[in-house]
Amino acid sequence: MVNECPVTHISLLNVSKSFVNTGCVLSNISIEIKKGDFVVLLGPSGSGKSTLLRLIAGLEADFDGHINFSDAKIFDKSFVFQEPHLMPWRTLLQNTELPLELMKVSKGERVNRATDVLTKVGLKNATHLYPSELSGGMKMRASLARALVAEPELLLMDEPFAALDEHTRFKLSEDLRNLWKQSGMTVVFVTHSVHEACFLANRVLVLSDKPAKIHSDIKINLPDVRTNSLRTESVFSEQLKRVYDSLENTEMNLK
Amino acid sequence: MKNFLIQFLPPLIPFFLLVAIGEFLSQKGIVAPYILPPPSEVFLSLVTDFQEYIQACKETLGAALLGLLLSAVVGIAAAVMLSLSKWIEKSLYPYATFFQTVPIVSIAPLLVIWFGFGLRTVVISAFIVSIFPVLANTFSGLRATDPALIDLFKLYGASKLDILLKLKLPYAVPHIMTGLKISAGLAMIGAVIGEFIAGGGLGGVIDASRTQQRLDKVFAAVLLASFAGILLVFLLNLISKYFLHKWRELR
Repeated sequence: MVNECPVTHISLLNVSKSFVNTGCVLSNISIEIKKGDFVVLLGPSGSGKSTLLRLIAGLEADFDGHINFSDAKIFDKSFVFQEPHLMPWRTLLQNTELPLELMKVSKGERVNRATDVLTKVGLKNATHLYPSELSGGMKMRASLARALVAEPELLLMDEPFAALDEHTRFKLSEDLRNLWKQSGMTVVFVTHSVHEACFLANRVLVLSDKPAKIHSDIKINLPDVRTNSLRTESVFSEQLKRVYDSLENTEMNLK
Repeated sequence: MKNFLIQFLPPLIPFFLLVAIGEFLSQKGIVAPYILPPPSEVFLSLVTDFQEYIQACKETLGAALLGLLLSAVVGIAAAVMLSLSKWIEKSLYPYATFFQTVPIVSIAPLLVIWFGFGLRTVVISAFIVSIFPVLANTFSGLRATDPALIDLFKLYGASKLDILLKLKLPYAVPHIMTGLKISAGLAMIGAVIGEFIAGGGLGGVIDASRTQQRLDKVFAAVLLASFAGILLVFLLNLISKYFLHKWRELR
């Protein structure tokens, strides 16, 4: 329903950002992101894509340009970091409850919603465990659960699967696509992996190296429902080639 | 049984070796008894004046524990205050280091003038010597909080109080425990020195026996004081193990 009549959810207009130490990181970035879309920001390491994500999240002040949201609710954003960043003294359930706790949701509802979302990410049997008792993949699933528990309209993800082994990464990517499909939320996902970008995204924005600009805007022509078997099909390689070519282009421009 | 042996036997070997050497030196008349009393006499004194020693031990341990408790409460509260703003930190932290370097022996007589003879002065002496490690460790723990988690808290509209109580303080718990463990030994030292001047406890026994040339009693009390210190540190290790099993990842 949300996907059927896409409206602009986030619009960035001439956004630039400089740091004292590293100079200009983002220069004149303008993007429109539709509600319910799955957008991947793809670029080389250190290209400023994480900074862009933090700007959208509202975690960085002091930038030029404008970032507007179609509806200005404060609590509708969630963030998943590169590392799980769970609180070691809390069980998975208590970790997952955190956003609701801070939003002053009652204890009973918190437990119900946290249990539900942990079930969705496949951690139903681990709710009482502490983070130190989990594998890297499970920790990242818990981190994802924590981000989803408040049912955000916008999910921002900063290379969340980069530290995981390939098998776990593929499984989590597949699950993330499904969770996105069920919820109708908007996802902005940062990565430097072309494979990950093509598998996850509806739309890939390729960033050029420092200072980052939007180099190209690629629509990924793949079915909405995606399983890991897609990765070996020829349609998938076609998309890969399109994105790879574009990335090479940015490097050509640099030379 | 084998584990038990590996745990407790090795530290006992040097102890008995030292005792044997001391006894040998005294019995042969190589070292005069008014310089080093034979260990057998020290042991005898422990047995005959058992009640007196137990009473003194209780007093000293009690004062050290009270001083440590005061250090924990005041130290943690002060660290929280210092972490509230860069201005408070810059203007007050240099003075906090006073407690690290204070020569307690030289200000203990002052404490007697201010707080009189007895328990109050002893507790304050223990407090002054033991507050710095708690304060400094808590402070660095509060500052070591994972910045990503602070971002996350802010994203969900957490108040400063939420961030302090639900994130920063729990995050600092392993640091606080480390500080308390260091402080426990220091509190014992502070208490004994306080008792030197203000009377009572093992410090009082040491001071009185010294003036009576009863070196066996001095040695017995010193031995008990260090034993009580070890007991206190051991107790804190137990508490910290109990608390920290959840914090495994941070240690």
